[in-house]
Amino acid sequence: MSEDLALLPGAVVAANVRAGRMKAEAVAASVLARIERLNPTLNAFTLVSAERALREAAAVDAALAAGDDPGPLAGVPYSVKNLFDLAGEVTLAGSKINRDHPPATQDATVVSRLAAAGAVCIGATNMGEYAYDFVTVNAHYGATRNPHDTTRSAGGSSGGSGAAVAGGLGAFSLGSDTNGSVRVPGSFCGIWGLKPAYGRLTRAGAFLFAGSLDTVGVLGRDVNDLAAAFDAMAGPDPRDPVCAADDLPPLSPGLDHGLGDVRIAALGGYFARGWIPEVAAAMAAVTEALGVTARLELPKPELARAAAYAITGTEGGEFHRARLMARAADFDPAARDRFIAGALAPAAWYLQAQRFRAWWKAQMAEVFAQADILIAPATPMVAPNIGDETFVYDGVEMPLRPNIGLFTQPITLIGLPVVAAPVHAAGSLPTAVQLIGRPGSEGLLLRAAKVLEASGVCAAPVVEPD
Amino acid sequence: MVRRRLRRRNPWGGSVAVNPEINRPDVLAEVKALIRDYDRALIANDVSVLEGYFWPSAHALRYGVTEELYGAEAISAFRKARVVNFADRKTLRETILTLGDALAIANVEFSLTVFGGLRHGRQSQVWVKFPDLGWRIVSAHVSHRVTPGIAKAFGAAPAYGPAAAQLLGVMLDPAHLPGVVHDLDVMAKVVAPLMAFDLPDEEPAPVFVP
Repeated sequence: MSEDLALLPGAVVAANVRAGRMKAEAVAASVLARIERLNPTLNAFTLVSAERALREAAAVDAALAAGDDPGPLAGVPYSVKNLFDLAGEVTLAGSKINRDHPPATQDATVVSRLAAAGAVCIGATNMGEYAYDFVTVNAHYGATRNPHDTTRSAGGSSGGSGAAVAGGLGAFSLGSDTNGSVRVPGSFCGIWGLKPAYGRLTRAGAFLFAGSLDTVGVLGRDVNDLAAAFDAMAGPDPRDPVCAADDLPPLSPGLDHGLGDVRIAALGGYFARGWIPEVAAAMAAVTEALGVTARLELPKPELARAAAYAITGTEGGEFHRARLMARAADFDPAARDRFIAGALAPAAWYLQAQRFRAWWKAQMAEVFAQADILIAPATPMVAPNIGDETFVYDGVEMPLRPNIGLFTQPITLIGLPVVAAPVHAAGSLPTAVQLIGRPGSEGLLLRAAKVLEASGVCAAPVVEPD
Repeated sequence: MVRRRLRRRNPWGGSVAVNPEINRPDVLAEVKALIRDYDRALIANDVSVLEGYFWPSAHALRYGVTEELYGAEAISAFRKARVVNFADRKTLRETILTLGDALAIANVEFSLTVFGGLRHGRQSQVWVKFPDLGWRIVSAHVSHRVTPGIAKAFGAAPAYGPAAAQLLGVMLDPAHLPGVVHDLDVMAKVVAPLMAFDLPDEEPAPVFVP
């Protein structure tokens, strides 16, 4: 089975399938063959839904043959982080405990919307247990390996999604981002990541982590695919109480409009410290390509991170309290003690974090009066070796896992939308730059991404793992 | 060299060495071999083998870093429940004292990585040779060096963690406690500057609206 079709951008697949030049079934078969060959190396998938993929692909081909519109994502293969409900499958959320749950009775809303748009679901991807993770080294399902270097982490917690997309196993993948879980795999795997604003995409049918921070996001190799997937999934949903009631205009039509007089500033201070050469090179390339000269400092970003840390631990710990009481021994040890600690955290920490959050939102409104897009690195390091415990930041050896989210976590606190833009410098591992906007500016961020993609500074090539 | 062993009958019928011979080479060799085997089982966390070294009695006792265990049953239950990784445990200094042919005190200093940090540990064991059971540990105590820095680092978390868990009805496995205390302490440190930050008058209990 040729794998050529598996490597095509989603937009190219959809255009060809819709024009009758390509069969969705052939694309699905090609991707499934590639998964069969590479997943034993990458451990990106915990479920390969071959039967579903072929059924959905056949339905797309049949719709086209009958003269019906098969949808804007016709035949585009994608995967989902294994915390999204797939009808008939057990939603693991990276855990052993959830194996005892009954299979989902229906798809997560975002999955059913992608299906309605003609996309083809090829499986569910590995993740850090219950998403409290940045490396996807899972005690129950093993470590996901980075296609750029299989001795390295793919990032987390949506690491399986990152490795799948970078390895050419599907055009895009759904992830979730609470403190950076889309942006970190985007950075380590060198692919695009879209973390929309909080409440912008429905979370109904997704197994949550820290409810007031959780967002559904997309990882992909092509800016067009991020926009098309977002457009297919967006819209109000009564099944998710925090999903926005309004509908944004679709992002895809304006993608090529360029940036005009959009004001862009690079973040200084907290976000400009401890850069390794790869991060410095990526920041230089992106700021130059976008013609950025302005520099801004955010008010108290270190406290924004502290607040996100406290809210995450407390909400996550409390969400899992019953499971921690009944089955603590069945948790991944890497997550268990942190969840228990979060469940025991004093209420004062949480409330002070919430007060700070309100204050910071007002402060950030003033920042966005001066710039429309803010630029910062996504991660302070490139993909670490699987099993690394520490890294050197600004000359100081620090524990690795708690600090991977150094640059992503503050932004999360007030649910701002972010695009992670991948930069591949010759001879070094990729890294990503965050394009941060005000709520509702997902379209603007993707336009900037498109400029970077067109300039050649940012790209997400398929990687053939060694 | 004359071996002098003075024994007298005690009122309960057993024999007690009143001037026992210190570190008799054959006894010392026997105890050393036992401790080597015990160490191997400990590093492998071979619980069934480890249990065989303890005196199967309600009088057996073991104090650990996080637990006080009275009786062989409590010791056994603790060992079965805990998840440990002693793979990098290394003996730094071993002191064995044998007194006569049925009593030995083994003291070991060791290093061990716990939650990413290197610990300097101490282990004391009292071994008795029973006529029917052979050598058994009747009492043991494990601790680790708490430097002023570490003691300060952990702040109030060691007291707060178990108390909060009890109040909330979360049963804490003793084996999980050090990790939980560590993580609570990390959280306390992360949150400290936030707690100290003087916010202007805000809604006292705001709900986040994006």
